[in-house]
Amino acid sequence: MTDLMREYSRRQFLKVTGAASLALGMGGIAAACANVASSPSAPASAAPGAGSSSGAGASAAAAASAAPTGTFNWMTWGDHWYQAQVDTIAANNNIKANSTLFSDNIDAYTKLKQVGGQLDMVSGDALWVPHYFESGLIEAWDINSLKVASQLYSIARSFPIWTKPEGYLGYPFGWSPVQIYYDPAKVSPAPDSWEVLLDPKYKGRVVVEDQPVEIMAYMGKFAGVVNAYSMTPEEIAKAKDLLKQLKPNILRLANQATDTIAALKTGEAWIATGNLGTESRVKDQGGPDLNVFTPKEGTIGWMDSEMVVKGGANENLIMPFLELAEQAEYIAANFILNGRPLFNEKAYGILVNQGQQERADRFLYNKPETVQTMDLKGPGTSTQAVIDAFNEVFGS
Amino acid sequence: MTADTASAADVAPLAGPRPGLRRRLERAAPFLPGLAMLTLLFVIPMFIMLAFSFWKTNSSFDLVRDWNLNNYARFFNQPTYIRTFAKTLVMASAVTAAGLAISLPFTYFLVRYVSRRFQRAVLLAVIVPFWTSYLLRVYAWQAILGEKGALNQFLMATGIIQQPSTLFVYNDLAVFVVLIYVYFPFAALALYAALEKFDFTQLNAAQDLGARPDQAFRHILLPQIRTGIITACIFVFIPILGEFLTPTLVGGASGSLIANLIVNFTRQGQFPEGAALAIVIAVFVTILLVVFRRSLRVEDVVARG
Amino acid sequence: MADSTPAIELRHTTKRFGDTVALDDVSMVIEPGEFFCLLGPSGCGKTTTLNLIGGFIPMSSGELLIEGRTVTDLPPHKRNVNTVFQNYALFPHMTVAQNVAFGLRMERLPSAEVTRRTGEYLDLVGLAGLSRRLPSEMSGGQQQRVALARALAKRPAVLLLDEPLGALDLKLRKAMQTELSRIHRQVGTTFVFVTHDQDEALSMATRIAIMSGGQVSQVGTPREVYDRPVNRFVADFVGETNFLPGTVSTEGGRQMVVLSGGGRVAAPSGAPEGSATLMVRPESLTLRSSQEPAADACLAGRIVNVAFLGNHTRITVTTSAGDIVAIRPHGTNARPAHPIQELGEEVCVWWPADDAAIIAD
Repeated sequence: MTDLMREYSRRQFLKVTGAASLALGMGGIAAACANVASSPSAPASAAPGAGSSSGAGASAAAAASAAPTGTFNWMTWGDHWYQAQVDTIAANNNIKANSTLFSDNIDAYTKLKQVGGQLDMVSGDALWVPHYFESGLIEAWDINSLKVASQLYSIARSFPIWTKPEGYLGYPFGWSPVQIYYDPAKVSPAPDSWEVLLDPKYKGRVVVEDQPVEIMAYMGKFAGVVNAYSMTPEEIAKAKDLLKQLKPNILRLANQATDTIAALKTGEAWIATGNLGTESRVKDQGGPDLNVFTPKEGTIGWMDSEMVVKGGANENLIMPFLELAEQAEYIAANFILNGRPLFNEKAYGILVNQGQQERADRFLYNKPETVQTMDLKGPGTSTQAVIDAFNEVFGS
Repeated sequence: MTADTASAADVAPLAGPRPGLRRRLERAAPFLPGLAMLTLLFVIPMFIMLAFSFWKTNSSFDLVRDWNLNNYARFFNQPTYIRTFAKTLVMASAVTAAGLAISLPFTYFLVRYVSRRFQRAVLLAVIVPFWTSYLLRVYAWQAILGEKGALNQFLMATGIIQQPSTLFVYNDLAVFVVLIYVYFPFAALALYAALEKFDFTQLNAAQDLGARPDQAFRHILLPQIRTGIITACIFVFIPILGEFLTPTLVGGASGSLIANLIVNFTRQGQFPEGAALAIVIAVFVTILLVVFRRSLRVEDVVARG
Repeated sequence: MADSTPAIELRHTTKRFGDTVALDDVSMVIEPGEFFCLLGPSGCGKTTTLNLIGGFIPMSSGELLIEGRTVTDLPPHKRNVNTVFQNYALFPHMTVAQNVAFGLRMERLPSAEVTRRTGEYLDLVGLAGLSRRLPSEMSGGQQQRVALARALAKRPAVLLLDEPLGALDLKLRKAMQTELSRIHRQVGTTFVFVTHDQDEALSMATRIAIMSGGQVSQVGTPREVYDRPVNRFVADFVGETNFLPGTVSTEGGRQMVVLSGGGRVAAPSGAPEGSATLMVRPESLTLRSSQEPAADACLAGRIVNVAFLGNHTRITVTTSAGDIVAIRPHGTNARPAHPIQELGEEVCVWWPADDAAIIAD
């Protein structure tokens, strides 16, 4: 190749790579912008009012009285709101909720640690809430400063784990224990213990979630462990032995609840673990009638709440939003949609009036004190050891 | 005057350190965008991961910069990791071999016996699945292989079995089959590229010289599509070492591959622990590529044609 | 003396591709040691014939015998035939020596024999020192010789060559033609050669089969085919010919041809009466000055084109019977007696009566 030709192809190459990197750069910028857009008009609306807030409802109350409007960023589970609710609040009060979803607490926790003030409100479970607080990620505030809080069951306003000297750590939403579902036509005698999961009769007929920490917690409960998320090495060893017995019974590890429900519906699975309401969802899809029970050894469970992010850019919108969104009418409608117990007592009354009492009672709606019998979800201290044990059993 | 300028002109192009350096920079310039991308998107993240792998997570899910080798020790001390990695290697090799065995006849037929116009249509059909989500395609296999799935219905309808079988899904076999399906386009496209450049009259010549068809295949065709085969192997084998979705969806309780074990850590915020395991795999792959660099002969793959 | 078994015998061979008939009831006999050429324009069926002999395509009907053995249904490697392909089809990943040795390896010959023969045939084609080279490192002519050596090393009864010189430039082609003839004489194998270049065929072949439209028009030695073509197509395809339509009649005891456009010339002996086409080769023509007294009948015309072609001049004369082409050699073979004709000159075209022939259409 003569120098001339070499020069030419170099120029071509430069042009091509230049164009390509430019395109990539633009794409990268666009993607970053889309991400940042989840805190959109944040700078604009936030400018005066936001800044760092030193805890407490003082600033929140002040903001509330000024009838603020705007958009805030809410990281939550998909069933904490429904579209009509959010649309109505946006239309009537000009407070828009920009929701992003997450799959589990550890997901939300790590994300919040990274983005901080770009989020304004985050949902979280049980013992995760104080963990968020201890990590300095959320505010504590006076729950009784919200008028809508009087609609809650009194027990929900005074959970010890969510109470700190600085205030309450979250606005309670809903709860559920983990229960075991089974097809009575295939499973007998009627079980009452975690043991049914391990019964060799049901080889390949059990579905559990693909959550190593949760599954080990189930085995821990079966072994009689008190705190299933902070197990000692001996307790972990016991749980691991039980896990080995569970493994051949497992049909599949479900990625999401819909997988569990699909397996129960087709009858491939006869036994599964799940939250309240699973049997209704299976029945709705045309599946068999299932029975449900809480294992006698005790179970784990969750209760979740909305937490206020420390230093959120749109913090002034949170309290006004909660005042509106947590109203009993919305909560009752949410129950009808999603079917698990919520902490709003007034909504129970609405449900009874609507003829939903049977269903609500079946879901233990009017028994929020049940949460005190559950081993509550939380970060725990044995996560890593538990994963090691799980990997040992489920690896080759 | 003229003498001076003449000598300057003679000497200028090649002499002197400054012109030489400038020349070298000019020549290097075209590679800078590629180098920048590689550094930003690959080298730096890998090094971050490498640093992570020497740290720990505390019980508050915080990253503690406490330099240690515990995470690497985990891989070698707890037998499950080595065993699962070995199983993953076996699975990857099996899928690669099966994938080649299926793609080669397919591609051979396509290049040799199908008219140009239809070749394009068939290639499009091979690529189209990429336009749908990976997750969806694997979910579809659940529907095919499951107890109430299409395969069981077919087998029962034809009377081969009486009861639906649970043998096909939520086990290693299902992972094997689905991985072959997922990676088939990679193998097929790589082989197609190689076969397209092949002169099929050579096979006529080989047969004319007395070679049986299988001998012609072995001595004439195979050596010349070697680069295609190697490309196919690379694009199938290496990604499978990182596969966790398919085992989760169709592998059941016993189908876990090494990436599943890693994901169990990273999903619970244990990044250093997961990073170390991933680095071990990356090092293994690098060693493989170095050991086999002769037979890879990258310049063949890049510069041929 | 008993008839020797023909090297190749095609009997009533027909080949159809779908609705197209590529070969129509072709029969051919090729004797051992011949350099037999299949000549014809594109689409005449010559390559199809070659492929049938080689066994690369099956026959629709007919029989093929090689050295007396019926091989109609045998695959290529079971016939005692080897082919030199048009694009050589060398194996690019093997050296020259490995290419040549391939067929011998397939025969499971002992490696000493393989080495010996490889060397022998590389010597034969003149590539002795290049055995370690790759085909990509060789010129077109060298590649062609490798292909030749590779096929010949198997010592087949018949060697098929499919337009092997097509990719070479003119000079190289002429050199290779001489080479091929030499190699043929040296090994004595029957060569069957396909080409569309009639110069090639004329110079190398012992016999030529002219093919057209799936049928054989004529088979004969180069001289036969050139001097006595059986029909207009052959006459026109091989070499250059002038065609003059007219009628043969007897006048005053001599046969004359009355040309359609006017003019009369002597007829060749034994010409049948009636309408016919006269053919005469350009080199048989003499251009006489129109002023010269004409002892014999000649055709009047005017020179319209003079083309200098190195060793001869090609002169086009327009006459009442159409355009006629004449050749005027230079050098020692020039006929000094006749003056050099100029463009536009009036001439009278004459030829010895028996140098022409009556051609069937």
